[in-house]
Amino acid sequence: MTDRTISRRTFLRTAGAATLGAGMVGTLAACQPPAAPAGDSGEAAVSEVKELTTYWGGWTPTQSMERSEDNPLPHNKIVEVLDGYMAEHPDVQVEWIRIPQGMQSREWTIAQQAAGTIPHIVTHAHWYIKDDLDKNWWVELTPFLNEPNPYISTGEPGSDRWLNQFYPIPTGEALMRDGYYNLVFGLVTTFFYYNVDWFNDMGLAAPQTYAEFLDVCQAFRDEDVDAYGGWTGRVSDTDHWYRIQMGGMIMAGEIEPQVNPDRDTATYEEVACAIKSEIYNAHLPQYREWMELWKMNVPYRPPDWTIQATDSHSRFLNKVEPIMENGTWSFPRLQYDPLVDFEWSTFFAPLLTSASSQFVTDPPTPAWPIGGPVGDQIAVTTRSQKDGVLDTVIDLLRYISEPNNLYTIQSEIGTTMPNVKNVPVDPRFEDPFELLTTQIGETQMFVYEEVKMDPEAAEPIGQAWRSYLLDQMELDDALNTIQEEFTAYADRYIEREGFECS
Amino acid sequence: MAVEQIPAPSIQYGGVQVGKKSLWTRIREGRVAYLMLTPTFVFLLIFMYYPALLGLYRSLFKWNAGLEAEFVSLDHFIKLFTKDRVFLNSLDHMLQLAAWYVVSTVGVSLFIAVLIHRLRGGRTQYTFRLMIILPVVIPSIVPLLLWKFIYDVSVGPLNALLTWVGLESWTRAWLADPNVALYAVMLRNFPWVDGVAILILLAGLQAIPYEIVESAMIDGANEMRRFWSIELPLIAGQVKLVSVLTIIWGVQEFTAVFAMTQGGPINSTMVPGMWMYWNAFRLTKMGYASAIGVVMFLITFVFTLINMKYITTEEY
Repeated sequence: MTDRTISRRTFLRTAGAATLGAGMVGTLAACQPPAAPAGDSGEAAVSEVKELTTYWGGWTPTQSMERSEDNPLPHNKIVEVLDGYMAEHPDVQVEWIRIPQGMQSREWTIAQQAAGTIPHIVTHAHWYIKDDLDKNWWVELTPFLNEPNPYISTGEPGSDRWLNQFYPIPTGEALMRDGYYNLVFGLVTTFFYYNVDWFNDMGLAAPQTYAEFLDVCQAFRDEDVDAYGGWTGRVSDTDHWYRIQMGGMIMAGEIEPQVNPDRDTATYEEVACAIKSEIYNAHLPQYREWMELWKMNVPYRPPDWTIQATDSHSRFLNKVEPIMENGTWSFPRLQYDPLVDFEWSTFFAPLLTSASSQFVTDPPTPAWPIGGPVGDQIAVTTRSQKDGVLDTVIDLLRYISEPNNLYTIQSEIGTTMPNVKNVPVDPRFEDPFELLTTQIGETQMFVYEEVKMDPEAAEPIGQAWRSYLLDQMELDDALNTIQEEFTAYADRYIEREGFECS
Repeated sequence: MAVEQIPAPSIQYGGVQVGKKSLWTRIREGRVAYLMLTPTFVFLLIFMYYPALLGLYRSLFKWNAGLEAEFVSLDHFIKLFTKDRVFLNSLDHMLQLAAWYVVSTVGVSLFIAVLIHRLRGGRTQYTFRLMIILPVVIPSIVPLLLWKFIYDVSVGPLNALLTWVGLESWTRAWLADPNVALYAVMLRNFPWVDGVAILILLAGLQAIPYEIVESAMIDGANEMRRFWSIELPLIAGQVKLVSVLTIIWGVQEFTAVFAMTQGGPINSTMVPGMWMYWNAFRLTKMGYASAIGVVMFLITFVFTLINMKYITTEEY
């Protein structure tokens, strides 16, 4: 006896029929040609249309154009520019996409590149692209940059050579193996924003040196306030950018002249060879002091500083934290946010002086600006070649480089400064703009692990730093770990690039 | 009261012994059904088995996505267990998480299921069952984000509650302190009620013939004895199923860590699933990441075998 009411065969037939039916419906639906757009005049017209898929990073239109706390900088002007391009080029269809929220751009890019589904144009940083040069993922743009930009009037920068549209110093920082693999449209740097009213109430002034910075933080600590707020990057990057600037100031005396004698962009070769020859290593007294000095500001941070991207803006705006280390992109947020009912200003990375360190130069060397050619970095994927749309992609990017078009996009968002000549600069950015177009930014900083090494080294180095800062690792152990990663990186890079250090 | 022995179901169809037919004949007779099932198995092969086997194959190669792969034999596995401190620590975290998930999911769910089963009114039982299962429809990311907010150092309700009851010294940055972050991830979702597990266990309890329970009660078994000696052995199959599912969940844990801590601070909440993702998509070490995936599979497999071997199912 059995209580089964259907036989195995009946079950198999029923389940099979249902599956087959569902499969057929799905397959048929998937195989249907896409519906022709309204007004389509015929097959020939459809086949001639060049379809570009693009991902524009920070330029991607926001979900809503209503300004709110969660949507402080609504924008959609990229669509206007793309529409303008398509109006001039009816044979081109440009689709723009979003990437899943919470997904890091690098991870998404790797997955899409590996799968062959990457858009033709994407935003991607040059320090990531340098690790991909042998992968045939990115189109070298140098030959195109050496040609004229047809959208520029005769006599204007770029009319003879597209590259001339870009400011040479920051653009030169994105060179890789003597070639350009992405276009840098935006410049950024970092500051310390501070609540002037709160400082005045406490009788404090903006600190000029690291010693003064710690004094200011201590004054707030005495009032039970966590003073040093700011954005915490991911471990492979840095906890705060001032850490990198401090490292640069300590190394400026004896080490930097040996690693990067011309004080120009510190090349990957220079950094790898400096590590290989132990000119730069984690057992230097300078490196030890760097870590010790940096740890001194940890007690003045909010207790959750280790969490990536804590919402320092809200805390600064809500007067929870009086100091916020953040980038130029914070300017528009502070300008537009209705919560700002206090006076705020900025100060640049406080100097490291002999009062704090025996290794600094006399007079002290100011910190180099973090950032530089970091904003709005656009790269072209080799999928463009495979799909036969590379010329169209280049043409679109030249169209976007046209100053009016770029200004339309960037001025609406207001978070970056233009790296293209003849694009008006917001008066708020005049000082940093001057700094970044006449000096080298973070690419000069050979101590910046994420920028000057690779993620395989930067991640464990960052972990060692944080372990030491959080009292989870002794300083000597941290230094040993860092040195191991230094050596491994130098060997890896030198072997991969196939050169010898002189 | 004796339990009636149910004879084994007949394997005769139309008076013909199936066992005497050849395999080929049986396949031929069921060809329509097998043909119709083919799409399912084709998709299973493409989307489930092929990637898994490819992962096993790739684990033997040093493969940076976009570059040529280089055969390295078992090097990745050797490195994982001899040099990769992050991975070894992540195994420890995984074991702690999996052990807690089993204890909390099976323990709490069993407790709730027994309570519901003991309710007298059918309507009351139904109401509680409904209340327990309703939260299952909420996307799993929602409670994670909610708990991330609960643990927030400045505006989180947990610290506010502790301050309110005079335990201000206990407040902390729950997800930012490497000493407690793993426990914060572990103890999220309090009171750890798992609707699906409860339904499975409750179904097992309800399937026990009342005559068995009744005879035990007549023989003098109290409530505890009834549970330990009658019900628990008879729902061992369901307990086993829930345990296996929970172990798999614990070993493969990724979502909670990804959403709440990303493995930090300083890898204090790193689990193999997260480390695999990190290696694959941050460091582009796809072969190495595949090796981690293979190890995770083996761990799940071993735990499941142990579970199957040592939790025996009673029949009634």
